[in-house]
Amino acid sequence: MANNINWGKIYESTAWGSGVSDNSISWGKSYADLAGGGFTGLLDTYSGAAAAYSLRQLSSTYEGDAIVVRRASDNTTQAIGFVNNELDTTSLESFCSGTDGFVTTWYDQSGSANHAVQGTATAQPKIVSSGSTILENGKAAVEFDGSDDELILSSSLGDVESTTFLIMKSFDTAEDVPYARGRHYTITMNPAFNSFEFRDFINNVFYSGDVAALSQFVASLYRATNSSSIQMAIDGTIQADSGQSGRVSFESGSIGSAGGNWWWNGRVQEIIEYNSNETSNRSGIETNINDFYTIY
Amino acid sequence: MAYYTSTTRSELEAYNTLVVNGEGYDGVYTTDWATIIEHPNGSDYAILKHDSYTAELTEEETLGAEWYPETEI
Repeated sequence: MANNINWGKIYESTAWGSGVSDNSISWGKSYADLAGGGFTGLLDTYSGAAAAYSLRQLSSTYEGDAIVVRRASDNTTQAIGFVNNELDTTSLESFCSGTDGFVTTWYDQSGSANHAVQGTATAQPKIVSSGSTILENGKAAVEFDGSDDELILSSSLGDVESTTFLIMKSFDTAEDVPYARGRHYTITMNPAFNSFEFRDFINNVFYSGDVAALSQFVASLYRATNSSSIQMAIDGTIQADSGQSGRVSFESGSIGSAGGNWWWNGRVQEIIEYNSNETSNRSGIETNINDFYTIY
Repeated sequence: MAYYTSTTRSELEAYNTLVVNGEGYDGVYTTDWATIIEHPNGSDYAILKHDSYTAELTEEETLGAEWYPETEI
């Protein structure tokens, strides 16, 4: 049985927790984390997500990293994990030391390994600018350039019932798409009209929520199979139904664009999607999100 | 942002390879410099120019709107 200690870790106790099988602690993990002491992630409480991308740790059982970052100075890459359940910005900024850093992989924390990736350098969104982590309201954020940046999901989540939670901010005054699945998008930011819209494949607007341009917000979207029931909430408030009817189309998946046609000019901090009806949990999930991000 | 254009896609693929090799991309997390853009006419191509790499290709300061046709959304 090993008794290794890698110095530099955060020790909060000298007692071993039950979660430490080999008496070793690795970088980025605190004793409290390993012992399960006090941390309950969103996915611990609201389990079953089909995909989950975040710059905070969403589950006490998730042991992977948050992202892989490429630094501009020499194009080397490094995986960045969590410290105290948030992105390890100390390691991130140390690695990127004075240069820009770009996300090549945003890991899926749901357990489905449906990671969002981008192999083309110019299309990788930025997370470090001149050595400093990009922050939105004090929390790390991934910034998309509105030109060609996108992270592509490894596999489509399918044309099925879904509940999606997005934390984001737009920089643009034109229509943008933060997250979509295919050529025909389903959700779009339209800051020119201060609205966040949920549309069908022939461009009917189902829901239009008031969202000021350049504001961080959380959108909660529910779509039943064949769009027989649709609901949208902005910052915890359910928006009015536009009265339109139609069917929402879902195809492939990407963060930052709609099928490579429309591009998100802004920041994204978290996207969690369930392939199920989570409307009964919507308020609880939004509270968890707002407790961390302090959006509204 | 400047672009290189050509009617021969392979020339732009070679430019992409030039940048990939020059920048030392790892080939795992980063495999390409930029995506080759195809003009709607089907015969013209463009790629974003890297400031540090030049080639004997036609350089354009910007690509006109004709390169990006409206897409039904």
